[in-house]
Amino acid sequence: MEVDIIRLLFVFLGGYFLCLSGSLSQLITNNGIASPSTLGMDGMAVLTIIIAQFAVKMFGFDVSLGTLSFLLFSAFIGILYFATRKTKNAEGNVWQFMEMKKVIILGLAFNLFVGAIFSVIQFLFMSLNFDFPTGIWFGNFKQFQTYWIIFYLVGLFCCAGFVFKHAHQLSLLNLGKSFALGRGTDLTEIQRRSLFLSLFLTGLVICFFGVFSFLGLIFPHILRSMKIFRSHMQWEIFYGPIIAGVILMVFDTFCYNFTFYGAELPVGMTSSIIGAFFLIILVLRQKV
Amino acid sequence: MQLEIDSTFKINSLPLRGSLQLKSGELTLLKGSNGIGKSSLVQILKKGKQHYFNDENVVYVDQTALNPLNDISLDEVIKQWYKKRVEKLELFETTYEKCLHFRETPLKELSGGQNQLAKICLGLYFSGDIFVLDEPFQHLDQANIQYLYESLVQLKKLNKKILMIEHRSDLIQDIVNSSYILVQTSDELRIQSGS
Repeated sequence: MEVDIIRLLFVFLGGYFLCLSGSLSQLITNNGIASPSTLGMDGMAVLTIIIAQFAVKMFGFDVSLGTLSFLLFSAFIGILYFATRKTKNAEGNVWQFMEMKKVIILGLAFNLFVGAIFSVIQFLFMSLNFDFPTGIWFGNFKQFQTYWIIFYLVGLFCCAGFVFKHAHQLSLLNLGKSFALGRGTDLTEIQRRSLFLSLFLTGLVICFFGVFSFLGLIFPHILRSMKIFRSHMQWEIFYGPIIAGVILMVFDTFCYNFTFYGAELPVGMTSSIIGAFFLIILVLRQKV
Repeated sequence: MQLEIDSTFKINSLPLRGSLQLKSGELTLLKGSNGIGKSSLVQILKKGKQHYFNDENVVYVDQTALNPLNDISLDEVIKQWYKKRVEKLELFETTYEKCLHFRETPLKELSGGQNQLAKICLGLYFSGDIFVLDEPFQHLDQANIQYLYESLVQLKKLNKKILMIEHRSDLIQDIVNSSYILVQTSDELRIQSGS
């Protein structure tokens, strides 16, 4: 059995980011079926990939598609982050350019937007004789540049800082927004930071390795079906993503070594299919 | 202590003005018609905790049910947050006993009355100098209403300041020390003293 250490590291961190992103999405909305995909984060990331692909073809940028789309994505969420920041104006009143609700609605709109204009974009790529980035629909870790690990380590550093700082507040948030507020949690700020970290982590995975549909939704539920995570939100935030990373590594090693008519199975596809079945079983057992 | 509410905060687009006096060992009742903004006032007090209560520990029991994503139970909340407890109230122990038959049940599976009792139990567990209770009798059966009444009497004896929003003032009329009413005028919401 062959093992590529760098690839495994990307897979582990990809699973880690998707799981944490899913847990945070569900916590801030207090909704078990919220996920980066249902909140439209996937759509935002895919749109930046398409724009990046277009830019590479049109202007001939000498940079990898993953890097360019991720930089575009980061710039986009950076603008949104500052737009939702609360500041005091000259009169001392708290002022906010854009409310958090609008960001979530914007995300959902992006999801619809990407779906709606998908055929138009496909037509444009075909008529201009550009290669359409079909690979993004089936997330996989087949191709990567080693220097991308820098972006991933930055992501890991952000996760560690966030989790260590806010784990207690997040576990209060698990009991309800009103309860967390009553226990002194700065609800608006913790929700804003969680949403943007979730967005950032989703983009980090999708821009470089494509869409891993529903993994962000399924991983937290898989964890909550385990006895040790069933009633401990802090552990889900701290250790859950590590378990998710390991699960995705197992799937990816299987896909790497067992090909189908010579073609490597996209790990995003296989893990989503198995994960979807697992979710159905959990729903039927009324665990969700 | 005097809670001065300035017009910075708005409820239903109307500025809120007025003040509330909270005294140690006394129960202050806030009344008002349905939907006027009493629970929103509690949210305002929560958001402006530092501004209104300085460093005093405040416990809130509001109307929103505990509805976690995972299967955490009352028992596990208590185990996980033992470090955050500021004061050990004997009253908590008796309330915890009353939760005996459901304290290991996931909070999201509790009935309305059980969830309400769990919130009261957690409020007493964390404890504080001030208790802000928003309709604490809701969903409770007669035995638990009586128990909560006795608990309020105990809290008063422990010199706690209690601010309570309750429509059914008949339940507590003999232990209320002062009352306020939230009224709406043409251009603002005002907290007025009086019955």
